[in-house]
Amino acid sequence: MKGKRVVVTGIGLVCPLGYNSETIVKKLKRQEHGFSILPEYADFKTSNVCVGARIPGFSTESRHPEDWTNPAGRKFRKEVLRGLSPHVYYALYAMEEALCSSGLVRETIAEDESTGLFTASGGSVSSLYNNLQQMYRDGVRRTNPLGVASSVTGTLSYNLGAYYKITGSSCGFASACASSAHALGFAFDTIAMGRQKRILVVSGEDGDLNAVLPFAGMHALSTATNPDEASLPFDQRRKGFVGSGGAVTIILEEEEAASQRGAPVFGEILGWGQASDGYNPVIPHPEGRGVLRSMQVALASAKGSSDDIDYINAHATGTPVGDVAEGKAIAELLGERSAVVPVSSTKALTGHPLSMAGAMEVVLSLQAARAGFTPGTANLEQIDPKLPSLYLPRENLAKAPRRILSNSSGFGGANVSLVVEPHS
Amino acid sequence: MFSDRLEEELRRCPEGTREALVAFLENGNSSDFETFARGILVRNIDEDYHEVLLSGSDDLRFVEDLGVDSLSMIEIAINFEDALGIALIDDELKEMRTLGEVKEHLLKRYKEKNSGSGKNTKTP
Repeated sequence: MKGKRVVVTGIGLVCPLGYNSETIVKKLKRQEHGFSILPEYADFKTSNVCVGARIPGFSTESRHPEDWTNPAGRKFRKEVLRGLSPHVYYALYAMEEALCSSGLVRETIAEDESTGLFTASGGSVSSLYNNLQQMYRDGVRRTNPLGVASSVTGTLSYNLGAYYKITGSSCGFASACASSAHALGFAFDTIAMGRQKRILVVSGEDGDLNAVLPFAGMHALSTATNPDEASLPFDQRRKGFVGSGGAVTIILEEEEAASQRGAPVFGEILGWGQASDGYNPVIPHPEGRGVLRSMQVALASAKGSSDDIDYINAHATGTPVGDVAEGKAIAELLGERSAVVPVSSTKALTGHPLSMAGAMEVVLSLQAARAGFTPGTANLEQIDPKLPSLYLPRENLAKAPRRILSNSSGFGGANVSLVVEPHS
Repeated sequence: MFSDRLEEELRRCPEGTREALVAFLENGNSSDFETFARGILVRNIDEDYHEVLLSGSDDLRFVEDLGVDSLSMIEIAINFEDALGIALIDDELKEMRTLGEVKEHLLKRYKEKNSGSGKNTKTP
């Protein structure tokens, strides 16, 4: 049975590069990163990490959400604020951006059974930490009543589902850094099968000290002291990733329904695939076995082959093992076309926002293509000799890709690949 | 004088709330209690209901008139417990449906505590 076509009709992104499309695309085009030296990282006991990423325009440092601010000066009722963690606050902003870009308003999606909500986040470590501290200090009966709902994985769904009065499907994905790519993939399937007409795919990460610095324990973070040379995917100088966060919303819609309402179309999801490494809880398979398979499955799902792909947005976070494993898989997939298909990692500019990486990179890839260019890997000066021969442009290419393959990989060897096509 | 948590909450209440609580704990004056109690409620209910609360009577109902749900009620109760050095049980929360009932019940429990007949009491 031929599935329904699925198009992207709304986009909202809050990340270290900015909180509106215009600024983000401008920075992507100029290859301006979103990193700085964060005193709270540098000063932390025994820390060898000092570069991180803040979310511009927002203030979420206070333990009390009522103190938080956002670039639009939007205010929320107490009953909304009390259940929020920083990434859900960012997501409320990204959601409004996406709805606005899609010509939708809150009232249109409220209590509409054909609209679903798929979310991805690792939860809020900071909220969990603060609430448990309060419980240990003040006792069980004096714990924040919203302590659980504001912090555990799933908090995005609980809060956004209620705020936007979602009555269609809603569920969350927890496959670490592949989570939002999984959310997009399953949203694609759900719409293609005709089970929903529209799905809001939302992902977010706090990206603060409590979310990022624990990765230093596995020596996965960049220890660079210069923000300009901190995130170095595919470069032999790389030592780890720069952690980041924010939120992203992608509105997927069944093509006919989108067309009927005259919705803008940013691009189309053509297919997706997933496969697992079956190897190690956190270390990727050294030959990229899972990610190769996920790319192959995605291309088959899109009824095409690697010959159709003219840009690969790699997961490549800047860790020594991961970038090489994915590089090997991409080289095997492309074969002779390895020399001509540009491969890049936009994490050189954004850092790695964990669960939201996949959806964020679909947005960045589509927006770059719509702006007429293919992103390069900023800062890539010394290509790792352990990588197979690939076309890894450092500079952006002045040509828009027509068909894009975007990879995401997470702990547990979870790999997801999405095939997307930009619309102008 | 108060726990860090209560001090933080009182800082976020309308001006005069902390002073009214201190005065009430010193002299037991019911008008001070009224000022303190309304301050705690203003802190915990949505802005849309502030005018109703500040101008309304003791018959105001928490759920219907002030938009307070069961979780907000828990937060309100924690504030009162911390301030008055009492411990409320869930059944008591269910019985306090109006502003008047809350004030009456809290004053009763506070007096019981001070007379030494109260249960589950503690010093603020």
